[in-house]
Amino acid sequence: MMINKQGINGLRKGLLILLMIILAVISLMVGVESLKLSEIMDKGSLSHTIFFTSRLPRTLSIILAGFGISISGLIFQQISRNKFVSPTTSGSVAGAQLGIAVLLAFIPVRSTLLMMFFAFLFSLMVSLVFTGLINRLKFKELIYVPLLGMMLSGLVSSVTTFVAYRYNFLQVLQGWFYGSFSLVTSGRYEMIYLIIIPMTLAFIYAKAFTIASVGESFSTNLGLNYKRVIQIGVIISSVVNACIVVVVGSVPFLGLVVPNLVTLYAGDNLEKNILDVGLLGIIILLVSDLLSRLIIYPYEIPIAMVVGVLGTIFFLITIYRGGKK
Amino acid sequence: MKKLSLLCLVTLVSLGLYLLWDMNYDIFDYVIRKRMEKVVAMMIVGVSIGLSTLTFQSITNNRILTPSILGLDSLYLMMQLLTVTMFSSMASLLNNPYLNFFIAAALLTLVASLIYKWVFLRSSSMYFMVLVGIVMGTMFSSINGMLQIMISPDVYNLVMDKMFANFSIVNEKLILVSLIINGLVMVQLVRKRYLMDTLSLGRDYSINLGVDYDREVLKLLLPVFVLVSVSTALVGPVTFLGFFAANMARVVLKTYKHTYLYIGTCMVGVSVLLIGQFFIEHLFDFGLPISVLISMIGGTYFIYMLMKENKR
Repeated sequence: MMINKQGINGLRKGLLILLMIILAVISLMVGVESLKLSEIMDKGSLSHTIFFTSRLPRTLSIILAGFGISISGLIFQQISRNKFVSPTTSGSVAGAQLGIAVLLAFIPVRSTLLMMFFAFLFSLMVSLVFTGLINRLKFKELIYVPLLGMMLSGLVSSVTTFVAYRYNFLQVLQGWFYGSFSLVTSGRYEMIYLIIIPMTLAFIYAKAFTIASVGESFSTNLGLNYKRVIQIGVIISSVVNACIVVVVGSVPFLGLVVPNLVTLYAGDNLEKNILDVGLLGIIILLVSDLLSRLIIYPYEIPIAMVVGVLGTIFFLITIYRGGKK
Repeated sequence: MKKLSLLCLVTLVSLGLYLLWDMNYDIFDYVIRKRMEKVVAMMIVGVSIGLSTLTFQSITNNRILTPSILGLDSLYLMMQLLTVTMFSSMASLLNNPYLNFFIAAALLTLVASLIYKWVFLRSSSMYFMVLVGIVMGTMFSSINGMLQIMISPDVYNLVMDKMFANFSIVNEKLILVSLIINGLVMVQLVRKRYLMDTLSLGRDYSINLGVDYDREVLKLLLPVFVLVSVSTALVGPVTFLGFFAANMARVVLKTYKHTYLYIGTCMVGVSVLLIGQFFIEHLFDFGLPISVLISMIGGTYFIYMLMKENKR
């Protein structure tokens, strides 16, 4: 019997969505205090308070973060035409962190919005430097691009360290930058909803990014305003990074691994894959978050640690399989 | 040769500058003794890191990666953090400089050799090493991140001394010990300098010229890791030093003869540390770790070099 390709594609997306919903429900229900379903809608009850100040914000922000991080990773990989680039290995996360450090050290005003703005601004600057530099690389060899990103990232981080060391808030900053959802409660996570704006843009420009991935001269030939598409990609990624760094902290590997996983089974067409990538990002982040809450229950391991270690194991297995002489 | 003497001059000038600048002649003996101690430590570190990085780069046939960049530094930091978090009862391990030094040096050498032996036996391509490097680095630093939040601010201040290389608090006796260990290992490397010229041609050419490439490389990796580990255990991580020194020597000397390259790298390594320490002491008033300063300069230079090599 012939099953057409679109059918399989739709089925896969359906499965991913189903899995995501199941995981999200589990995520809502897991916690130190068990919720009574009957009381959730009952204002004033303990279950109601816990559900609306802690559980729901947490699950929502995981969904937004997973979606945002993996899709901005995908966009970065497409516009730099390199599978090893991601927000954490291209300096744009380091840029957002520098922005926060600069704000803390030099400007005496504390507002989340201002912080977002600084994180966005610095992330944008570093990302623009990165894309500018890789555009000037003659041989886009596989390793040179991520290497350049890592170095740029290291350079920016050393400036952050300098600022934090000078003003003696290095440990505070490191705690802040270390991804964790445990502090996500209502009243202090709402900024993460801003991710919806760049994500909408990402879906609108999905086709343009796919075309841009064939290179400047080719895509210009096809009638694409290449420079503008690259700029939009960089802006999308910077907004996402700023939101994530301010609200959650940095989460390693996710932006790198998820797009590669999807490419393994669905090929390279961004326009078709973008939803898969986002959904898979959410699923992986939900699972990691559940693990981070359950391994040493009732305490928590920060999500950055779980994702970092899981990512390493995943990578080492891939390398072990693929790198045989 | 002319350029080599130029480098030599730079080293001597920076040495003189560091030793004599802002000297109080009333207590000349004391100041010069203190400064000489630091100078010896800097020489050990500069020479060890320079030699080992150059060797590592030549045998892996790349000019970018160094053992420090490939995760050795974050491994060192992880060990220091683990000592204070996991075994707080064994805090003496962090406080006792001798114990800390020997354990750190031995463990670093062991782990690095195991990882890279495994990597090298699997595939000698640089691409593969970068991947392992990124992965290892990310894992170590995500573990470090968690440990750093867990410890109390007091303990953090203790660990911060270990996070950044510091030449001002080096133990005299350990300087002597490192000098002996690294001196012996360096002799091994220097004796192989002609072999290095062949190895740097790459695997295929070396085998064609009659060198048992894989065996020689494995034999060379151990001294490389001993040098890096001992100097890291002595003062702390100076991540970009090796990268900067080895590349600078290649750029200035423009030769492939390791006899000259070795001398050049050592001189660049030592002068970078001397000049850096000079600025830290007199310009920044100790408000900036030397490794951060070198990271900034080294990172900028790295990006510049990558762009220059790949110019359109």
